[in-house]
Amino acid sequence: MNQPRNTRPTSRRPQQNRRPTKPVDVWRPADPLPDLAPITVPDDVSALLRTLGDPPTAGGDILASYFIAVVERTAAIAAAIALSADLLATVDPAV
Amino acid sequence: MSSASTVDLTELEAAIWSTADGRGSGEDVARLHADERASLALLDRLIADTAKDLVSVRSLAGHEREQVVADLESTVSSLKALASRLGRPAEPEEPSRDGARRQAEVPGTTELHVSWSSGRVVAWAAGRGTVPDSHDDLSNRLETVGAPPVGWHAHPDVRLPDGVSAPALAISMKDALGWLVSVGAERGPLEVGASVRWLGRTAGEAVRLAASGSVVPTLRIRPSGRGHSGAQVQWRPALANSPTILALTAAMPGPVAVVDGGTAATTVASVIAAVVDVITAESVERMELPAPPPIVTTSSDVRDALIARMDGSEFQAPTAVVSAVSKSLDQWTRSVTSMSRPRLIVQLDAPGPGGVWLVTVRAPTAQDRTMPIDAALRAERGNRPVAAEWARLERAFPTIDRSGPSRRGQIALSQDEAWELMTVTGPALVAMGFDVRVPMLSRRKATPMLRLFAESADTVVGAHQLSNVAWSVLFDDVELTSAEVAKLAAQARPLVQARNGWVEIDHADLAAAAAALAEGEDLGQLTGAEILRHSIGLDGIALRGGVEVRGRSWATEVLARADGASSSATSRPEGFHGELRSYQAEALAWIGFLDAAGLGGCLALDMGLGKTPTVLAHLARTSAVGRALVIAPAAVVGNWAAEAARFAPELRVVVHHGASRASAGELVAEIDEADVVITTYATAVRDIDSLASVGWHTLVLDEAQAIKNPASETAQQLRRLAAETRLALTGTPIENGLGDLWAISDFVNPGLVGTRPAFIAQMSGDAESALRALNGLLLFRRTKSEPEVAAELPDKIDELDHCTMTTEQIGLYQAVLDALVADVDDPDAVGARRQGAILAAITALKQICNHPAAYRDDDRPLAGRSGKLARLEEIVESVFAADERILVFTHFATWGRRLAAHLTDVTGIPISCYDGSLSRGTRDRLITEFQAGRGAGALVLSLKAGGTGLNLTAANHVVLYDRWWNPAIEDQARDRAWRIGQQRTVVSHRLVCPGTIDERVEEVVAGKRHIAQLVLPRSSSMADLDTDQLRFALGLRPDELLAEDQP
Repeated sequence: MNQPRNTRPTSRRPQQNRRPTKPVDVWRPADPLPDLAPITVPDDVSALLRTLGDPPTAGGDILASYFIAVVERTAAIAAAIALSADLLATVDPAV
Repeated sequence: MSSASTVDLTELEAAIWSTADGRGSGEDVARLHADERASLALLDRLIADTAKDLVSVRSLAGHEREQVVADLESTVSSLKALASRLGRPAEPEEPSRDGARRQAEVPGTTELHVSWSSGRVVAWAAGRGTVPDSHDDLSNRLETVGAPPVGWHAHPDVRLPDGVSAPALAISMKDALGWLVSVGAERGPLEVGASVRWLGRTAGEAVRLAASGSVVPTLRIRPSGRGHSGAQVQWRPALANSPTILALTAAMPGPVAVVDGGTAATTVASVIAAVVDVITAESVERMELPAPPPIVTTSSDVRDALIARMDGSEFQAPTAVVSAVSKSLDQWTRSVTSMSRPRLIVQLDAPGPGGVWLVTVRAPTAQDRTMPIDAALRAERGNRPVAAEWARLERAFPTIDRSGPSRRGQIALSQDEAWELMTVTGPALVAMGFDVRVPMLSRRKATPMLRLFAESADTVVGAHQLSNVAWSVLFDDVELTSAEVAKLAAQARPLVQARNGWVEIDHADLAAAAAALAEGEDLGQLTGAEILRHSIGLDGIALRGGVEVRGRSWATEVLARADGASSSATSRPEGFHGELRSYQAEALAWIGFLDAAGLGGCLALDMGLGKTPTVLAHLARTSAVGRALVIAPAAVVGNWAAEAARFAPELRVVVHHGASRASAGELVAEIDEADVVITTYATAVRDIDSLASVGWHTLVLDEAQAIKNPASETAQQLRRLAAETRLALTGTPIENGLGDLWAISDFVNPGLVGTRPAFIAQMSGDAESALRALNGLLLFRRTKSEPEVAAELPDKIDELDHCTMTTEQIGLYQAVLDALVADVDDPDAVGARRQGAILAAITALKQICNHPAAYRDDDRPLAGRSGKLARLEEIVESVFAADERILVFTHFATWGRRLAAHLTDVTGIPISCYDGSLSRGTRDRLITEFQAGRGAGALVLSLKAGGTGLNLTAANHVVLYDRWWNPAIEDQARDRAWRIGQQRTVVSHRLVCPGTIDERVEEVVAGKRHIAQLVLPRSSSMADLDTDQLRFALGLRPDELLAEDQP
């Protein structure tokens, strides 16, 4: 035991101005991360967008074609990012 | 009330300090227990205060810091211990993940963390109770973990809840995305805090959405006054409520939101939106867009501006117009962006007896149940989210509309359509946000196997017994008749339901199965031998999975016994003095199966794997049942006798060979006294009448390549030998083609494997598949390259091969010896001359044992003139058949060159001789080429030039063609191959001619004799030499000599 403690004045530990709520514990343990699955790119990346039909505006079909172009390029870039992180699913030659 | 409480708290605190320090009186302790809840609450405060002091002190400098930190840590510990005594449960251990990396930060460790703040990644490094990294330390840490080298900028310190401020740097998602996704994929450095891994995983999920096309456009409106608004195209994620994203929301570590303080759900949504925005912005940058309209007033203008400004740049438009477009876009995408959208279920049910596949669509209900889509649509009111999803499904899967409005969401599919849904459309629908439930479909195609069901009315008696047979075909575990095969063959995508789900069948397999069944229908009855042939693919149309024999017949019993043979394997069989390796024990069990089944077989262990001891173990076990005849090349007859004496000394062994062997009249009496008779091929053929008159229980042909030509005299004559079990031993069952294997198989089981052409045709000329088909049944094959065999082998195996002497060799040998004797006997010869003559004669005799041409160089062909050369040719043939490489050492360089040229002619593979007459460059080239070579190859080396210093690990066989007096020299030669870098067992053969100078040398090498005893048999004086002693020392010993063995 450390001897000086028996002389510690109680006033050294003020009890006033304490926050009424307990602070958030930023270091609390978090849940485990979900399992990591490889990223697959579907054959038809714009299929989801097309299930919505054409946008409900005048000339919706023209607008849709631009949207589809963006989606296709977005999928290509995302696939490249996945590939660089070794996350892109490879085709199983046994299938 | 409050004043009294203050006094009480002061007293309580004093009691806590006293008790925690171990000085507490009984009164203090009683005070703590009087109100434990109040005591614990106060304790919590005191612990928190002290911990805060601890954090502050840790950031101080000075030499007393350590002591103060230790003091405060001790205080915290004492307070916690007191809390525990008052009933506070101990703090739980932090959970670990994957048994290795901790999910939470380790207390006291400064780790890299990131927070998500206003669309930026804010990095800082700290830990519970640790001093945070300074900016410089943080930069170094970021560099260490592979974070982007550029893009970082200063950020205000991050205020942690315990009052500590952590210096921070910030970076945009665009700059950090690649790094984060790598860290999230656990491909980057793992020395980062949980918050970094979490943000990386979350960014990775956003990348997954973008890669699958799950992004939709929206139009953000910002009023700018005077009836106008600024508008910007922004892309947002769709279907962002996957189970993985929900799990990430639940798993968000505290540091992620420590700056902005948002909830986990909003933080996840914000991160994913930011990643989608980064990727879509990059994609739009790569598009050529039309010029924007100068003024936007109408909805058409908005559309044009929307296209031209898809890069997110703002345009101004009348608020009413642009709001309408924005709203309609949101409504258009709502079914895939709403977190509460109904996820329609597309369910495919396996067909019933009618063979119809039924698809039904159902919608989820509020009670976590489902209802038919038709009912759900009729019940829906308001926004009609189910209707929106149904409309999407109709676009994605138009087939669903085939039933018409009366049976909405219910359709029947053909098998082809069902296959399409299970394999192609289904996964696509899942990617579009639908829940697809289909029967399990195997990813591999079914393997066809022919099933032969045999039924024998009589007792199972033998290979010639007829059985009724029925045929079917199995695709995995599904048995099909020929009618069912025909029905499936008519379908575009034939499917069968196996035990583990649906399996697709290949059309080619169906065609083969149909042909095999058609052929089987013509075969209502088969003999046992025919059934056995079918089972190993020697008869009938072969399917990929082979043939399965069921029912009751001689063949089924044989196959069942073969299957169970290995269970009786033992490494220490009765009567065998030694221990068999595992594969030898299995081989012995297999021979036991042959013996019990009355079959013959081919024991095809690689050279050096111990065929002889294995067979001796069998002969020792069966000696009481009947005697055995072993026929072997003359070179290994002595080895058989020696191994029998070593491993099975109780066996009565007779070697029937040589000029002094028993005559025909004596042979029967000699055999009567023997358990095992060992003879050579030539002697067996010569004495075939006598040997064939004996009923042998076991007939063993060692080096059975000798009968690979079925038309040869040897093969024909040996067929006359009657034996209950015939065993053929060879390390190379296929040297020149499948015909070799057929010849051996037909010898050991006459007629069982069918005709030679049929055998070769059925095996499609493929040696490996033939060996596989027969292995374990009529053949037992193990090679040194099999890991489990190699694991049991020693690093090197030394074999002694006894070689014959041809008539030419014997005559020459005798002539040289006679000349020596005459020379020595010459009364004029002085000591030195005699000594020189004897030494020269020893060399000459050794050369003659090698080959007559090694002693007396002539131009005649080498073949057929030396037993050693014949044995070497056999060894080289076996080694080359196994695609391996061999070194041949000889003491005589000139002979080595002739040997290399001869082996080149015989094998067709260029073989060089490495000797001292070559230049250094040439010698180096030979070694390099040999080492670099792959497959069959050989190098002849003179013992003097090549015996030391070289590294020839490409070879794993060594032949010491002639012997040298010093065993260390021979060991050095063998060690050219057996040295560091050698991955395989090295087999070393020493060739010796028994009864000759060769054997005397062998005795010297073995330490049984001194060389002086050869040169000076009786005394140290040459003058004392007696010619009889000289003949005894150097001469031929007919009783030991293996004479040339011509039939």
